[in-house]
Amino acid sequence: MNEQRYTYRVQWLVLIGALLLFLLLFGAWIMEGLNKEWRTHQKGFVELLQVRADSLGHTEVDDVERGIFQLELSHFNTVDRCISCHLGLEDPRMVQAPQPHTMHPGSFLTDHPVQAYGCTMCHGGQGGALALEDAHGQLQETHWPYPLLEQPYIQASCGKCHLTIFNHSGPDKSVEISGMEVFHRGKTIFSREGCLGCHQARGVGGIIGPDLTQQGEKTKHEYSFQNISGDQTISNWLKEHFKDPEMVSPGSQMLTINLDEKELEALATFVMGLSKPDIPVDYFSIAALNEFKGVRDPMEGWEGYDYLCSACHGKEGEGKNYKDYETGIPAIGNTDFLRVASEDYIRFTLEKGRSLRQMGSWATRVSGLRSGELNGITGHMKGKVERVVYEMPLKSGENNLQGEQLFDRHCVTCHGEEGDGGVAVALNQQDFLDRADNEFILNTLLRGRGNTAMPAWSNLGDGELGDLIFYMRSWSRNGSSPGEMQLPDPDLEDGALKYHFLCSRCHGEFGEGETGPAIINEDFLDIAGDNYLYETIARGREHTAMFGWSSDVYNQEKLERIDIANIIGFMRSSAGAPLTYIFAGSNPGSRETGAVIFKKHCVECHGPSGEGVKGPALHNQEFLSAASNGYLMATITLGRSGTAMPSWGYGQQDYPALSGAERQHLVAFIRSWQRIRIKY
Amino acid sequence: MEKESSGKSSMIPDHPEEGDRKERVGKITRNFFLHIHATRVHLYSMKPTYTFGLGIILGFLFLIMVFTGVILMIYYAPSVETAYQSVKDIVYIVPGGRIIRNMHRWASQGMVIVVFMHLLRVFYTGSYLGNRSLNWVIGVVMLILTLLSNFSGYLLPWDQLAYWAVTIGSNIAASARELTDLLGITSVIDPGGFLKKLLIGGETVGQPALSRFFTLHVIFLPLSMLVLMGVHFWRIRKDGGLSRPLRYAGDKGGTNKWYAWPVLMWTELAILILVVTGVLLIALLADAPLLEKANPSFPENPAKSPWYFLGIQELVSYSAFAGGLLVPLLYLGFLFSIPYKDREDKYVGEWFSGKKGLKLILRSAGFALVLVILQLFIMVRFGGLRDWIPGVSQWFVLLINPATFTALLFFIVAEVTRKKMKSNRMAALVLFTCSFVALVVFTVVGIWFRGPNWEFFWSASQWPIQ
Repeated sequence: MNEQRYTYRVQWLVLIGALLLFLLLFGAWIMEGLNKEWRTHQKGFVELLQVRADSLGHTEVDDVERGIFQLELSHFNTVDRCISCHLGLEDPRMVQAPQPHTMHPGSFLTDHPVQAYGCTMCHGGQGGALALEDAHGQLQETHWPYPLLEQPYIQASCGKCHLTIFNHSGPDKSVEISGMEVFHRGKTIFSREGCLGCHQARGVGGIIGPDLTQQGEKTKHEYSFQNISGDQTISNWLKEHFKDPEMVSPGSQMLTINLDEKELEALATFVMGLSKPDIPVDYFSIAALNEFKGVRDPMEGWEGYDYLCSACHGKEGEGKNYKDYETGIPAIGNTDFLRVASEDYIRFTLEKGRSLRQMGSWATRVSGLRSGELNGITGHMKGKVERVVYEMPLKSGENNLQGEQLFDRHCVTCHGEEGDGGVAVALNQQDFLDRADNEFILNTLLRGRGNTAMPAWSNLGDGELGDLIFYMRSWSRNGSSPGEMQLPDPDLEDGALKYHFLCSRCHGEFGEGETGPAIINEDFLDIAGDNYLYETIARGREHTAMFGWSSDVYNQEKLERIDIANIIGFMRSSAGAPLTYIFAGSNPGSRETGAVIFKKHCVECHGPSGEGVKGPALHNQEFLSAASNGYLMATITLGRSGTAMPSWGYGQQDYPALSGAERQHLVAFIRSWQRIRIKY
Repeated sequence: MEKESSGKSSMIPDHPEEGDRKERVGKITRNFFLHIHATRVHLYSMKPTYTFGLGIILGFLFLIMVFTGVILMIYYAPSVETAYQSVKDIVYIVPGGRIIRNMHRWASQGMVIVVFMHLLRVFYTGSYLGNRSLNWVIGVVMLILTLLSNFSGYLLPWDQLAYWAVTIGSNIAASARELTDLLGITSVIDPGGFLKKLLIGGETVGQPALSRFFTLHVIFLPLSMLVLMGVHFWRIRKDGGLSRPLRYAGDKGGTNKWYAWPVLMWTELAILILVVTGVLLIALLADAPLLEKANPSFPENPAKSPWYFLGIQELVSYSAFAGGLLVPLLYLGFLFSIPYKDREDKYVGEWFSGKKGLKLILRSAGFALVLVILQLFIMVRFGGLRDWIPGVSQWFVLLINPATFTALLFFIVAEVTRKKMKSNRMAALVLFTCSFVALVVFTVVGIWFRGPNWEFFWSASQWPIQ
């Protein structure tokens, strides 16, 4: 080998190599620079204009600028180059033209000028790209974060600025915006299905599931498509998720909802529009901005129930039984329950939740619900808006047999045969019948007495109520003479002291009832007139432990009129004030005896230590702090028709009736599980 | 040398005149960028079938890496929020970005392959003999730096492939934990944890890892490579040019030498153009992969480190300490020790050290192949120690596994060869060949035959869908 030949060969190699390199570079340059889609489209645009000009008989065509056009939207941190291909965007001559030359449909661009909004803010896609596949970003294998949105999902983009979940009134009611129909349908479904029961959005809602306030901003990369077999798109993921959450996200506790295809689409569109994008504030609607701040219209009671409670507790409050749902969800719309549960019980449960159960606290700092809204939900559940004193004309002196049957069926189990009393007060007591007028009895029957064992008998018809009252009247020897009374202005402090020293021993420190009935009770004091109270306090009730305080009885203080007036005033003011605790009230049962009875009858459903097997957990501390002994007694006595809880007061097939004393023992046993007293 | 009238290149006379000579020498010595070359090169060095130009190819690949790397740096944003999108922008939006990134990717893979080929060439031609011991050591260090550069660059796109590959790699770095855990001293001394933390700045791969790797990849490692390259070339000069057989050792002055200008320059130009063309061609035809954005919640299964570490990952699947630390360190130790144990200068410059050597090499290759495949067969078919003796102490698993067993066996065979043939060079041939073949087989298995949960599959189409 000599140097010359070697060099010769090498030089050939260099030549061929350089030629090849040059060819490759040239080819690359052509690919990158010349053979570009946008050039083709711009040429096509000009051709279209030419054709149109020809058809109109014009000879001249306007000069169309060529090149790469872009919208620099620094406030959105994007650059949109869509207009390099979509030249006919704002050109009215292009209304009928094919894509990409066609004019933008609708009047969207009037309110959303392209210079301020760009294209990708609404349509998605990669603004900076100049090739169709990259710009539209819909190819799933290239994993674009924001693919182009087709109808109806593009309506989700409207939600970015226009969505308000809670604000309905105001100048920019988002309800009225056209072009957002599917989105709004989705919003209705979202509210109707009670999604906020587990998820929070814009500060309101439950905390079991993830916060959805910015769900729409998530890109494909933040979803797991492991179990999704269809399109690997966000909209498809959401639809599959709604159909079967546990399959899509293993371990999810989300309940399945049953929606048809159109509704699924609408809901997915809505969820994709739940966002709070990082854009300048003047792009948002006023209502939306307010909502971000937390300024929103208060929800009505039914709204609160629908949006937040209905997902778990059912649209009619029917709950879910243990067969369908592992831990069971109480039927809070159950009539028997609502008859027995006082507003305090419901409100307490809303405020505190139930520890170790799915029912969380809905207190303001957790759920974003305001106190008034919680009161509204409570009122909605109880079916009344305000405390009403019923007045009803009653049938005159009728059918005592009917009344007797009703009394035997419903009332004897607590009030004893012929009203002799038992676990509840004696109703045939003459002093009582003297002073209580029919209206008093009627209202007691219809409203019940919250936190005591007296349920509301709203399931009885007018006729039945009338018969019942007249039957009770038949025990009266004298006939009633309630009368009116005018009492002097009370001195509340003196009343408080007197109550504490004289009354609390029997009626409880807070009037919740001890050996005597609960007297500082809103339901009672609403319907008991001053006369009733004064007469009862002054003259007592014969044959009971309530002696008259105006008369001389050994060793006790005699009360003057003004003293009694003070006590009554104190009672009324105390009943109106907010409770510190829900006081359990009296119950003379024995815990040990109760344990035996519980083991015999209750363990199968409620578990040996009340942990709840097929029935709710009874040893739950929040429950025990919310439920007074009266509530427990009433629930045990009445049962809950429509659920598996039988009535132990009346007895049912397979379940014996328990006597009043046995029920009292049970209540004492259940009460013995309470370890802490939770403040209201 | 014969005179040939070939027409072309008649400007270069066979016997250059004095003035020409001075000019040609001057072209080299008076040029800053060229004067690292010798003014005259030996014929033997110019033989394509001797060196295959692998070293030069490596150098040019490095040049391509730096050039394309700087361009990529203009658009790349090294933060976990922006890295992936910036790479997507490079590929899909920046004009020519796709090609530049592809060139960067394929040239880097090429570098790893060629660096191993260069290692083979230098070893089998005995070019570490004589005074060239230090240069060999520098070469091995540069091999490690090449792998590290590739590894650090692997993370930068921040996609699923990158994230999990580096997670695996960092866990291999923590292999020492297996030993310290067994000894129960991890809470006191944790070299595995220290190494992992040094590498990725934490227990999991995150922003600290990205920042670290980025700095390593664009500043520290390239600069170190440059410095070492400089020393590497300078040492070649000092050692009298590229290695050549003893029979040419005595060639002094101009005997059997050509002037570097212009022959060597043309040759290098040819290689440069061919390398660039090759890389460009592959870059135009094949795209560098880019999966979804890295998501720590969704591990890849199987999560594989970059292909050149898959041999080690296969060994790690037997025992973390043995496969991840012990055997690789032993291998590196062996590599570094070669020029100091083998002093048989007579073998310099000869491929495979003659017929004897070639036979030995082929036998060793066959032996290693059979041994490794046999062990793999047993492991896959019958399971390992854990399956035969449930509850066996981890110590046994650490000490008795294909990694240690193979290493031990090869060492024994090499020692036996040394004793029998009374030659360190022959022993080195045996051990080198055996270990290299084993590495290749393990790597091949790791690349193509391991699927989810590191189970054996004949092909990827058989993998179960997770």
